[in-house]
Parts: sequence; structure tokens; C-alpha cells
Amino acid sequence: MTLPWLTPHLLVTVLVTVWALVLLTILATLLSHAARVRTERSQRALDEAARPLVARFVLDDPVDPGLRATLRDARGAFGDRVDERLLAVLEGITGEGRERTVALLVDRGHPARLRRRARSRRALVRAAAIRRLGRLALPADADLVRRATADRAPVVSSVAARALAAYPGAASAQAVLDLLRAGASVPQLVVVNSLIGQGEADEDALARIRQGLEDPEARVRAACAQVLGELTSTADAPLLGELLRRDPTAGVQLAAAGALRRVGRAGAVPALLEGTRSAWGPVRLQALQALLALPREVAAPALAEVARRGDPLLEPLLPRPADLPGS
Amino acid sequence: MDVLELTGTWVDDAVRAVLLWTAIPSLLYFLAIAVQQGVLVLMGWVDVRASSARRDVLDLAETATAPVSMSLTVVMAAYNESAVIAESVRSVLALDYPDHEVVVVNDGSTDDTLEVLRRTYDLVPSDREVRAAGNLQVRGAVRGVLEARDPAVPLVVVDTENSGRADASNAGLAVSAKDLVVFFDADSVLDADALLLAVQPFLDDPLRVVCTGGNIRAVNGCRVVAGRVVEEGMPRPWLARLQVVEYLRAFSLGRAGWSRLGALMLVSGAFGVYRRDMLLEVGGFDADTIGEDFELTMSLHRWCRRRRRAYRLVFVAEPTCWTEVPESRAVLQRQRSRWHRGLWEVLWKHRGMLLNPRYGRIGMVGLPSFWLFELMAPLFELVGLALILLAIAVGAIDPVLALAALGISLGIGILVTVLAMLIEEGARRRRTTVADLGVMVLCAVVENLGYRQLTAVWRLQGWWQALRGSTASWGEMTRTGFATD
Repeated sequence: MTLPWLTPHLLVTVLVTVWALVLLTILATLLSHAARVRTERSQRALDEAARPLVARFVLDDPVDPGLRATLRDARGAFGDRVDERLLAVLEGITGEGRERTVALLVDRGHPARLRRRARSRRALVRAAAIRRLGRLALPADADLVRRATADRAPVVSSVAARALAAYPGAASAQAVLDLLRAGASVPQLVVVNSLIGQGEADEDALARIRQGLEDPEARVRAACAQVLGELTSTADAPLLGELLRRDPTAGVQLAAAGALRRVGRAGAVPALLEGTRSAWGPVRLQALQALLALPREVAAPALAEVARRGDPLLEPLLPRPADLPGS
Repeated sequence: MDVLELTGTWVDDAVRAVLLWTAIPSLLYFLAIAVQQGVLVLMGWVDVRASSARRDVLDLAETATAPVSMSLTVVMAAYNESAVIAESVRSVLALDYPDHEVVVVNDGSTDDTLEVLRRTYDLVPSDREVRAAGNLQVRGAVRGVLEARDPAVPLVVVDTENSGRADASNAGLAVSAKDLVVFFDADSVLDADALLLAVQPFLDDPLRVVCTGGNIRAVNGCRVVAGRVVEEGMPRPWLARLQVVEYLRAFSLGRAGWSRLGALMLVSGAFGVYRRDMLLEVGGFDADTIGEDFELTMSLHRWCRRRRRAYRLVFVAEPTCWTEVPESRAVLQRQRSRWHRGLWEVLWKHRGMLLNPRYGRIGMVGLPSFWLFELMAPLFELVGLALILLAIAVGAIDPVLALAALGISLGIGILVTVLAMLIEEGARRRRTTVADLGVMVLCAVVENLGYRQLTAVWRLQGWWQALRGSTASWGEMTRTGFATD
């Protein structure tokens, strides 16, 4: 049999290429491993040196001026670890301790470095800088963080969305909702938590979230419904009930039913009962769970009707008939 | 080039005839496999990078405490697991997750699994019922449903007659009452943040995502403390070491690649998260199939495609379930034989989906690939090897060229494995030492020199047993136990 193109030269070339690739890949793996181990070891050592100094700085009252000077003047790799430790403690402290720590970071020139890094060509460097600026929450950086929600890299826009929780207001809420509207691949959890943080802290942000229930984009309506379920009293229940009944999108119905599970009241029972008839299993489940969250006297007739329907998805969640009032 | 150099005897003629008819198809098959592996490496790399970037963005502590989540039932089918069940349940109850319950199904154990649970968790009779709902059927007779006396311990125990793992899992599903269901083996170990990571796709896309599968790794050689892997390591037996490399390749490249292509074909039964409503629609696991996890995945595809539902099955590379792999040849042989038998049964059961445009990428890409490169692979591999050796023996082919071809095949096999190692190293998920890396590279070479061929024989045995219609059984998995403190 003759295969004219299958020459010994071709076979040997392929053989050598494949084995060269094998060796190169092994080398790359070992180099990557060595670099990782070296970085981790060095970071661990520097962290061990920085941690007690930072802890003393945060806890001591008054602060030792010598210690402050040591931390302020720390440079190089050790300086980077000092910045990291200071930023880490910002997560858990408030009041004077926080202000003192932020002031030290400003004295160290950290915010300026972060602003420079926020313009880096590498997405992960930009993301890390935006995350840290969000932790610092300096008012001067609000616009920079808001603009970062429009970054072309999803990792940066996601981090910016979370960081905006530190800058609550109508403009920040709008930036997060715009991100959703643009169809960015941002984790829903990040978006919702950012909006919850903003809505809790600022009335204007809450008003903007409420407006979002009428947005033409389903993803925005769903996120706003979810956030309102976390934030508000029963005031928004009628609006959420309407959303559950009328919205054509299953995802929005699901979010509305989930929100009503937390803020539902008697007036929402008809909408919830309708939700238990949805073609979508998750919507039916959420609607039933919202009914179950209501006082049993209010929800009993609706629960009895659901039980009569014999939906196999909902049956395991239903109370026994004997447990329903009036039975 | 003359591939076949004949000497004129009747043996040569016979070999020539066979080679004549198989040479071009074999070459095409080899090229197709190489292309498929290349695509999966590329897609796996993209998926793992995306997954790592996502991990950088997600703050899991925030996820654990966030009010926005989906409730979840962990179903554990247990048969004669008295040695590990109490610890296993404790570690699952202690997983980082805001709202989860544990349902243990004691599948007619002949040891004191139920007694251990009763003693440890102070079980009392429960009002919960095992209901055969919708398309879900439970065959094993239910002897009782128990729950922890302490309401703060979200544990339900279903005691059934022995009816097999699939049916026991269905009993757990029938009693579950949360949004999502996770099936998990009592002898496996989950990372503390595994559930939080595995549910992320559901939070992002609660209606379209119907199932997610996590990463599975061998726990052999790792140090386990209080139901958590605290130190990774390579096992000492070579058989287990070879499987560590196999799992790494299968999950980092195979599952991740298929998931990125939108055609995830298998979510492992050891760690899969499902929407409960979807499981009830498809009737849970098929208790008559030995590859019940593969069958369930195919049923989900079938159900959604037939109804033209927009849906997604997603592999999530970050959450990890650690499972014990066989260290003895006999147990490994039974396992591989059973897996291949299960593969055949499921592919045959769903043969109507093959090359059927109605099933999209699953029917047109995933299933043909599984038929050709998974089911048929051991057959082609062994027949191809035998033919080449025969051809060399009778001088029908230039031995140098044959060895060059074998060298290319071996090199590609090793290349795929070391690329998986590089991807894992880049994702910074494994905490391996340089010595372990060396052992893994060695395994990547050694597995091609006998191990792969041996497993191909075992897989063919499983297929043959299925074709002959002999009874399927799970057999006994001999546990060597974890290195624990």
C-alpha cells in the first residue's frame, strides 16, 4: 500500500515535535511550580514579620510614634505586605481604628499606587487595585470605581460592582444596574450583595433599586426584586406580587416569589397561589415557600388548594392536613 | 512510501489484507482522537482560567453569609458504612453553607450503620415521608424515617431494604425538601467550601442551570483530619498513583473542556448538584442501569432537548470531592469493567439521540465522540496494537517506522497528561510538592506502558459481559481508609 505523503521525514519530524512539546510542558510545569512555591514562601515570611506590627498599630492606644514611622516607611516587598495586612484589617474594624489605618495607608502613598495600577494593561492587576480602593473607600475614588464597572474585563467590572457598596448612592446603584443591562458576565451574587449594601446605606440608592422593577431588562428587574426582598418591609409586597403575576419572564417571577418569601403578607396570597401553578418548577417551589412563610391562618386555604392539586414537586413541603387551621 | 513490505508467505498476505483495510481508518481515527484531545485541552484551559478568575472575584465568606442563596439537601446512600458514617455525616453537616440538610439512606446495611447513626445523633421517628412523586419511583421498602432529636441538627435518616445505590439515592430524593439536591458518597470527603462553589452557577442562572458537577480527586495519600483534606500527597502504591493522574486528566481537561463546549456528557455520581424539580421530572436515577450517574445526565439532556428548554449543565472546576480509588488490581478490574459496562448500557439506551439533530451538540458531537473515543477506544487500541506487533513480526511493515508511529502515539498521550498538570499548576489549586510532580510525570509515561492496555482489556471484559447479558453487580470496594489524625 502506498501513502506518498507519509514519508519517514514527516514521521520523524512529528515524533521530534511531539516529544519536544512534552519536554517543554514538563519544564514549564516545574518552573511554574518553583515560582509559586518561592512566592508563597517569601510572602509567608514577610507576612509573619508584618502581622504583629500591624496588629499592634491597630490595637494600641495611643499608637507608638516609632511603630507608626516604621510602618509608614516600609518599602519594597515588605512594604507591599504591610499594605496588604493593613487593608485586611480594614475589613473588620470601624471608627477611630479604621480612620487611623486609612490615614496610615494614605501616608504610605498606597491609594496613589492603587490608582496607577487601576490603569494597568493587565486585567487582574486592575481588578486587585479596584478591590483595594473599594476597601479604602476614599470619596475621591468614587468616580474611578464607578467607571471601572464598564471595564472590558469581567473580573474588573465584577470587582468594581462589589467595591461600589462602599460608595452608596443613586449613581452607584445606577452603575451596577447598567452593568446588568449591558449583559456583563458578572456573578449575580456580587451584584445583588452590592445593591443590598447600597440600599441599606442610602435612600437614593433604594429608590433607584425600586425603579428598577420597571426596567425593560429582565435581569435588572430580577435583581431589583431580589434586593427589595432583602431590604424592605412589607411596603413593597404589592409591587412584588404584581411582578410575580404579570412579569412574562420566569427568572423575574422566581426573584419576586423569593422576595415575597421574606416580605410577603396576606395581600400577596393570590399572587403566590398563582405562582404555585407556574410551568417552572423553581417558581412553584419559591411561591409555596413564600406561602409557608406566612402565618398559617392566612395561608391555610391556599395551602389546602395546593395540596388538592397533588403537585409531586410541592408535596414533600406541604404540612400535613391535620396541621392546617380549621381542619 | 511503502507502508507494507511483503515477503510473499500466506501470513504476510493475510496481514497485508487486514492492514490494507485498516490502515487508513486507523490513521483517521488516530488523527481524530488527537484533534479531539487538542480541542479539549484548549477548552479545558479556557474553562480553568475563567474558573480561577471567578474565584478571585467571589468572596466565599460573603457567599456563606449572604441572604441570597438556594437551600440544598445532601443525599448520602450508605451500605455497610458503620466505620465511617458518623464522621462522614458530621463533616457534611459542618460544610460551609447557609441552608443545607443531610439525608442519609441506610440501604439495608447488614452491619450497624443505622445503630451508629441512632446513637451518635439521637434519632427519633420523623413525620417526613418517602413519597413516590411524579416520575420518581422508589423500589426498596421503607422501614422508617428518623430525624435528629435536636432540631438544630438538620439530619434525616431513611432506613430501607437493600435495593442498590441508585434506588437508595431515589429514596433520599423523595424525602428531600430543598431547592437543590447533592448526591454524595459516605466514604468521600468534600472541601469545606465545595457546596458554596458548586452552587454559584445556579445563583447566576437559576432557571437555565439544571445541574453542576464538581472536581473529583483521589484521596489516597492525602492527610484527612476531621473529615477534611488538610494535606495533599501522592499515594504509595503505583496503581493508585496512576489513577491520580487519570482523574486529573479526566476532570481538568475532559469535563472542563466538554462543559466549555456546552456538551457536558457526564456529571459524576460522587459529586453532582441537581435542581430537585428536574430530578423529579426525569424520575431520578434509573435503578436498572449500572452507570446511573451517566444515565441521569443523559436523561436530563434528553428531557430538556425534547421540550426545547433553554438549559445548561455546568462543570465547576473549583469545588473538590476527594474519593478513595482502588489500590488492588482485582478491585480496579471490577471497577473499570463495571464503568465500561455502564457506558455501553447508557449509550445503547439512548442510541436514539445519536446523530439526531434534535439533540443538538449532545446528539451531533458528544454522543458520537463517546461512542467512538470512549466505548470503542479499548477495542481499537488493543486491535491496533496487536496488528502492528503482528506486522512487525512477519516483516510486513518497517519496524523503525512502526516504532516511530508508536512513539508519536505515546508522546501525544503523555503530552495531554502533562498539559493537564500544567493547567492545574497554573490554576494553583493543587498543593503538590516538587517530588509529587516528578512522580506524576513518571506516571504520565508509565501509564502508557502496560496500565492503559490492561485497563483496555478490563473495559472490553465489561462490554462483553453486558453483551452476553450477565447480571450486573457493584461488587465490594475494599476500603483501605484515609490517613487520618
